[in-house]
Amino acid sequence: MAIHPSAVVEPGAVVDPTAEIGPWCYVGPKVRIGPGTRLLHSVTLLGRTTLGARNVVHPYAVIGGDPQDLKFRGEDSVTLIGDDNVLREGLTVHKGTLLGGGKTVIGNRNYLMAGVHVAHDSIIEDQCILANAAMLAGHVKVEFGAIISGMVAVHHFVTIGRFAFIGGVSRINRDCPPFMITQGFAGEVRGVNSVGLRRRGFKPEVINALREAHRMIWRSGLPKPDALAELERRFPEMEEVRLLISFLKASDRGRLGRAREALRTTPAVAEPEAELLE
Amino acid sequence: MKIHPASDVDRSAELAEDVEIGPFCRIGPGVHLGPGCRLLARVSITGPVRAGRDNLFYPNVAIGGPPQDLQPASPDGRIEIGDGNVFREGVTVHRPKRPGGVTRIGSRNRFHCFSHVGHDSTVGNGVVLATYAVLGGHTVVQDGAWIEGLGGTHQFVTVGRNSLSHSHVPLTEDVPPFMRVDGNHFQVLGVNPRCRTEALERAYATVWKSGLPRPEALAILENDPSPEVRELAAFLRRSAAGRFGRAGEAGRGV
Repeated sequence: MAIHPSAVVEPGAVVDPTAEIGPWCYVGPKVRIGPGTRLLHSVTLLGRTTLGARNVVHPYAVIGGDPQDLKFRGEDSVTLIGDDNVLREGLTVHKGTLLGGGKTVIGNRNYLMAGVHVAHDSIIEDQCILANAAMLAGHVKVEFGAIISGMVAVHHFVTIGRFAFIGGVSRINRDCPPFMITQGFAGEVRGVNSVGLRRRGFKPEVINALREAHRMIWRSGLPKPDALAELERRFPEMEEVRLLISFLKASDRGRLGRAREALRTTPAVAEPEAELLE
Repeated sequence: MKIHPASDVDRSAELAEDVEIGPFCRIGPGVHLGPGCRLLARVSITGPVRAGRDNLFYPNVAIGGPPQDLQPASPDGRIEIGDGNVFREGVTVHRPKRPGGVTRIGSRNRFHCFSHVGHDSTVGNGVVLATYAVLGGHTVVQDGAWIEGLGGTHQFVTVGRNSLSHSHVPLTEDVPPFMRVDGNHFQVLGVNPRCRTEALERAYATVWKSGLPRPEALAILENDPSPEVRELAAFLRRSAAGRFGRAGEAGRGV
């Protein structure tokens, strides 16, 4: 086990023998570190944080800190990080809150760039990219393969759909549909993420079907229920279109265009922190 | 007093009995920390800094750096911090530039990750700066104001009491008290939902919706029975008297 002599690893921490801990790192007493994970230097791991295998954590990252949330009462909640993630300089990940489900989760093979902020109870699935200073407020879900550009702020309880692309310096207040590009001060859908989909190996007929879906939902002027019904009729077998339709229906059922609002346990305005982008 | 052996604390620093200092902290000379202050890890405090009771500093916080300004720090400037503040990861607070100046932070404020208090700024009580919210130099933030993530103030801006500034909004003018600002360009969009009253709704409509010339609208507000509405009117008069809608510009040296 390679632990630099200047690092502080508290008694109680479980560190795999093949993990590397560089100089000036701090590893708290309830932390678990899996095989091959490397903390380069000056990394701080707090709380009940678990890192899986082969993660690389760059300097000044702080993982497992307390939630920036008024409903946090000091509970011993959890931060779970899977395998093969790259976590760059100055990243902050906060642990969950009891009322929000008690855990913040980052899956596998994600790339989180410098200064990214992942707030309490957020879930990032696999193979996502968050660019510099992108931040997720609490209870956010980022689905498989989504890309969030730099300086983007994502509101509480938002869902970013599979393979969605969020343009830089956007403000995201509502759910972002899968396979689409969403961008701008008001977070508007701009088109199909065709480049991203092609790179991920989606077939041309799927991309063309999604283009048609985008045109009907956001450009045709048809009322949304009519557009969705027409798409269901025209593409009954296309899994991606079905997924897009069910995502949009779930968002519209939720308050303020956010499906995950149903998970909110505190009133939206009386609990002031709930309306604050962290 | 608990000081981790991996930390470096200057002998002249004055620390209260029950101060806790985690690993890799650097406390310079001229630092005074009151009772109950806790530095979790890797916190840098460079004097002169005086902090009151029960302040909590998370990792990578740096207090007391020189101003991010082309002119040097004032040789006799200092930082004063009240009680019960929370400084989250990577927060920076800078020393003043003005001779004899103070960068002042009141009590019970919450500075979220990477937020920044620029040189010569004054922060009141119960203020929230959300993640990446930054205060330019000479900013005044009055009690209970909230600035959402990635918001920032121009130098010399005053952010009014109990106001709410939404995320990404460049605050280039004074933010009126009790109001909510939003938009690609600075716009007052309504009353802050946290302090909505009939009187304030009426005042908002008079100033920003009625189309009345500003002096006439303010004259109506000044005769309102609500003290908050009169406070709003006085604030707007001061802002209008400064340059560029910023009352603080009146105190600008150069």
